[in-house]
Amino acid sequence: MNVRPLVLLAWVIAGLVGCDATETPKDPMTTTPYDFRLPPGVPPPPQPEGAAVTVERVALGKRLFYDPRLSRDASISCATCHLQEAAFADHLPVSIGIEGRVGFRNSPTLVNVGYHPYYFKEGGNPTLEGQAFGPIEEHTEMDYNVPSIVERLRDDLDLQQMAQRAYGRNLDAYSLIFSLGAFQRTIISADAPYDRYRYRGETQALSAAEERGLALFASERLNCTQCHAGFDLSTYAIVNNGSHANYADEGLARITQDSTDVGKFKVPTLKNIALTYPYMHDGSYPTLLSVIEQYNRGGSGHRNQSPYIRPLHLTEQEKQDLLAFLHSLTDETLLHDPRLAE
Amino acid sequence: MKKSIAFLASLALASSLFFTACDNGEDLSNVTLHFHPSVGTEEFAFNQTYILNDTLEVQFTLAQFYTHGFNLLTEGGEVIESFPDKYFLVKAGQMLYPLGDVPTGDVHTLQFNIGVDSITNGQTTEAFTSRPEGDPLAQQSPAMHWNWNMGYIFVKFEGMYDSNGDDVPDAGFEYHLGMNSMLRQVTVMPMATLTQAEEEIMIHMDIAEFFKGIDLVETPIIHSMNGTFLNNMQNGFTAH
Repeated sequence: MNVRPLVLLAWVIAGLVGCDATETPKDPMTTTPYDFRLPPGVPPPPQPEGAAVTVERVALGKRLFYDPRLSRDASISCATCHLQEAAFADHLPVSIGIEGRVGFRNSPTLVNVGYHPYYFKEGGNPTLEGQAFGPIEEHTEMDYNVPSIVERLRDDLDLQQMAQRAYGRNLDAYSLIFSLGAFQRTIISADAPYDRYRYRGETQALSAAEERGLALFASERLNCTQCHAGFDLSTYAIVNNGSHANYADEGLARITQDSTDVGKFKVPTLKNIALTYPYMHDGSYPTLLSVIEQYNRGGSGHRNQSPYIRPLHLTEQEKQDLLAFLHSLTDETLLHDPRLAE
Repeated sequence: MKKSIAFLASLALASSLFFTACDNGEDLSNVTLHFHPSVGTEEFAFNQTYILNDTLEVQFTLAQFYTHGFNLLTEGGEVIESFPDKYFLVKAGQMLYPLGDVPTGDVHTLQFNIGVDSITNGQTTEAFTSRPEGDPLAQQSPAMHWNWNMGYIFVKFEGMYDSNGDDVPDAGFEYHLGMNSMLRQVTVMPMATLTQAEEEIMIHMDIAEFFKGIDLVETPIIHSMNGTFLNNMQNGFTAH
């Protein structure tokens, strides 16, 4: 039997009916520019081409950031390991995922994360958006996947409307991943006493001890600014800072398979550093003072250690001044900013 | 307005049905590739115990890899048909993969790549997240893309191996391999003659060959590259 004419008839009827029974009213996409409220000295964060940060996208991303349904058993959210009160890090040596699974790296702060040129501690992923797959999929973190999350949230009409307003589409992989990125790009720290001293001319913002600590930090003698420079106090270089004599976590060598890259990790920001303990890629340094002591010793002497790491011969007073300066990097505004809160 | 547009679109679609159904004079076979897994001489099955390298008991819980860029050649090396942008995520539990229309006649050689080409492997996050459901290069579960690195996981094998010599697979292994340097081209010789409207080309893949010389006890986890494994895969396919 020649079914071709029947097929044609069926399509003509469909066309006449204008069948689109599944269409439901959608909120129109709106693109309200996001006001980053950048203080002097802070450059605007980079934004993905074609995916500008808007009020609507940030709202969606923040909602998802705090949503535990992004994890397999709906028990943990991004915010579980990135707490606002801890400058969007946590206080564990390594992160704990669903079912109490233990990770293998210290949770990094998300402060100023939008400015990084690459992501993960070895810098393997070039985009903030691409990074989001990591904790979602990692077995010891959320142990889930984006398609399943999209399916799980399909009947959440509020989220669907937010996605329509933000991206003109229902919540899908793109709008989920990119809205998370949009929200994270708004986590900007630039109102610590150091920032006010350095960029706004508030000479009284630092105490005498903090000023001495700043002078030490910026000195050629200590070489701190070889890696910790710029408004975010990081060059984002991937270096071995001599934190360990032996590295169970290979760092950059995981990507390059090059033994000269063992122990190399991305230089982190020092913003809010007093709040993001413990320290280093595995959280093995419990306090800032323990970090200062390690640098004072000249590092571990690992074969791949940066040449800038050498014994500092700090006096006890100098250690305390350095500590005071590092505490002056704490931005109380960020910690209590309602725009970043759940 | 909306109904008018739908009507015109329907007429256009209906017209295309007539035209595309017309025969252009060339006899074609709609070819399906049959990737048939085995472990040595044994049929493959998940969670079944096999012996690799004559010594090690293993079980597989996951076995899949990307293939793309298919060329069908004559005995003289002339291209009969090419599918440069055809991608499959070959899974050991799924054997049939629809390739497309190929002119009838003799097919001596079939070439394909294990992995993903470098351009696709370097796609933007936007492109990756915009791939439609059903696209083998869209997000998969289990994931077939890196997150701490760019690009796709070309090859993913997981399972259990005997870690203590009691012949019982008791510890996990994970071979997640990718990055551009791991791309490999495979050549098999089906030496088939396509005559029917629907044809199937059989490709045997010996997973034991993939693991030839691989010491799972020494290195049970690799989440990056292993040239030996990909070279083994290159030799682990036959058409007979």
